[in-house]
Amino acid sequence: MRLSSFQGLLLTLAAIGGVFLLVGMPPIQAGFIVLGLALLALPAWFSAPVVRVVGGALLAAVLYLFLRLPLPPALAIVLAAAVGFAAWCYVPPRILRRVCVLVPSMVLLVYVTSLLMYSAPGSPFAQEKAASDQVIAAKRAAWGVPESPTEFFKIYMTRVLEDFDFGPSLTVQGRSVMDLLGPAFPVSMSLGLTALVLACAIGLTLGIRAGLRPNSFADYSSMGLAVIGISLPNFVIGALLLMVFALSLGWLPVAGWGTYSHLLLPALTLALPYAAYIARLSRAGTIEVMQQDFIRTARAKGLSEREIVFKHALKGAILPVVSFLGPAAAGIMTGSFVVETLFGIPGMGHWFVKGAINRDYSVVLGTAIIYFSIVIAFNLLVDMAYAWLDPRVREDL
Amino acid sequence: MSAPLLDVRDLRTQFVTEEGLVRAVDGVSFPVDEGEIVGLVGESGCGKSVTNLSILGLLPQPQGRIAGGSIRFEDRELVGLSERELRKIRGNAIAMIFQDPMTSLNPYLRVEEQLAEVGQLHLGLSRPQAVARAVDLLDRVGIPDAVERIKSYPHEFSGGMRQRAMIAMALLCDPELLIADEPTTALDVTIQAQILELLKELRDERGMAIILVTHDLGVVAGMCDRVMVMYAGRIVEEASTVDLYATPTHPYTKALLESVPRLDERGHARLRSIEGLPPRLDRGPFDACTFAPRCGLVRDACLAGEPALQAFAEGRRRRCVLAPEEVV
Repeated sequence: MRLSSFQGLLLTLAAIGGVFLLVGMPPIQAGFIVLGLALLALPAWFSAPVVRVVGGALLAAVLYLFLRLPLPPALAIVLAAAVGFAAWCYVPPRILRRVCVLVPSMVLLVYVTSLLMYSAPGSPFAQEKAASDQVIAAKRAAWGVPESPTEFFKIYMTRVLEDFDFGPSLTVQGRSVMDLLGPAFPVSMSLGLTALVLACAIGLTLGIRAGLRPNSFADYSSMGLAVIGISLPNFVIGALLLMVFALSLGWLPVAGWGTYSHLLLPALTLALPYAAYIARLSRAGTIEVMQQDFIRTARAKGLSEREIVFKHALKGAILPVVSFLGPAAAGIMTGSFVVETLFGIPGMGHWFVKGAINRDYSVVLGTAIIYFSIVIAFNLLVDMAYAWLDPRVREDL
Repeated sequence: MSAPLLDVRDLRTQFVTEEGLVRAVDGVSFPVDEGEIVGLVGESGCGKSVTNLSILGLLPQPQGRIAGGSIRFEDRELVGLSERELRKIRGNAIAMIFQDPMTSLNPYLRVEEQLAEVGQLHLGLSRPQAVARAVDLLDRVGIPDAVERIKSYPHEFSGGMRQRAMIAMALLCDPELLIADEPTTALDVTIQAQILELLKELRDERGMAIILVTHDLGVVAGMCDRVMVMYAGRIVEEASTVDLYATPTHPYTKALLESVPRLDERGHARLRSIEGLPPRLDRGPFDACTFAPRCGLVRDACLAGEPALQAFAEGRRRRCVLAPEEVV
């Protein structure tokens, strides 16, 4: 018997739900996850007109959530509806299809993260001195963190949807998640973007140079550097850079945040491992492209080696790097606990670690949502870059 | 008689590999006159393509090198010419088209870009002039609606159209010599015929010489004025096309001709193939005829030493110890 792909989907979902129930997950939770997965998969079967309607509507709904706080409700509705309508008219279905997937996956992300947090031992209110049950219950009620993860999810989502409020931090007294992550986000972004640019510049230069002359001195030296970059942990690289440039030479400040000179060393530390991966990928890409027939054609036309490399080979050579950049960018932008601690930078990496260690549920969810958004944004950018570089993938994007 | 357009003399091209020195082309000599179509025939790995890559100085680096001989083109010696000077000739006076049009065009660039850059490079045309010239040539090689189609990417072209675009690219600077390295091998039979017909028309129109590399003797018969059969990095027989087909005088040529399927043959005769493989070229130099191990007519004299390439009739050369009559 052959299954249609839709039947296959149903069967898979049923199997996933079955496994969840078997390992003892409460039926409500298993049901919710399966429902979320179904919603994620469903847009694949939507026809183009359906995608446009659903995508436009979802876009308008999300926009309304953002707009309604600063604007009067009527205006927010009108504006959101206008944008939704414009999207329905003009935005290509392949992008609206992403919107259809994005909204349910964001909700599912929050739910699954809640489940995982709750299944970790301990709670945000566990203290060395055991508090009485009444105190704990009162605290849970006050912070909106009931015993059941599903209840918590309901409270959290209501709060986000109604007030665009990501909740109070459970362990940092008197601060909300917005207070904590709000100032840290631009710090991590600027550090991350600098590191990303550095990583690409260093990695591509070394990698392409190596790939043009495989097994030469340039190749071995670049790849040697890359292996060092990949295998040295960043606290070692960071400490070395600090010793040389901050302590011995005294060119750059040891730690702190605020000027461009503060940016350089941590960005370099953050960039080097990524630069090493990029170098290896672009080396492989360059070697591969330079063996292609069309490079021989370019030579037979009488083009100079420069024109051959930059005009004919480069696009193909950096394709593997581009697909690596999506996940890499998300990792690099969200900051690194080690680098931030080493250089005394008030970034987000701190909260990724502290939130998890302290079981600060609302901070964990806040960081998860930011991470997810960056991954989504960069994957979209990567796909667009891919289509720009390789005309053959344009149609089926 | 004036000097030939291209004169290859005793060309020796070698590759340094881990298995040793590969003598890919070992003492090949031939002239190509203006407006002539010369066929270069032989099995895979017999040195046809390497001969052509040597002419343009396009040998894979750093393994490949020209170890000896001379290649004169319009009174210029190409062997030992600087890369800079060679680049001025490539794509300009000598153009080349390749076997697989699917992979020989750059998938990342528009056809327009790939054609126009040749005109800009060699003819000093401005971009619009180069594009206009490219459109004219695409039109000439039979691409319909060339003004629009030139904006396409190669993957939007069919195989035949890509080879036409390659030909247009090669013709952009009106070359005196076109090297066509198995230009139809990757194409459907009907398209093959169209492309070959096109090449012939273009030769008649522009008077350029063509070196046609192929392993398909059917292609040679319809196209070439003169044929050279290569084996193991050497020319083993050279003749006008008519003579070669009528009276092949080298056992290898004869075996090649016998292994071409024929439509007019009655019954269900088995298609003949040549037993065995060509010798490994990293085992040379050879002290016997290189074809001896596969030759049906082999005798002691064949193993005593390598026969030389000798002229034995007007415009005919062969490399065999047997008398021509013994082979025919």
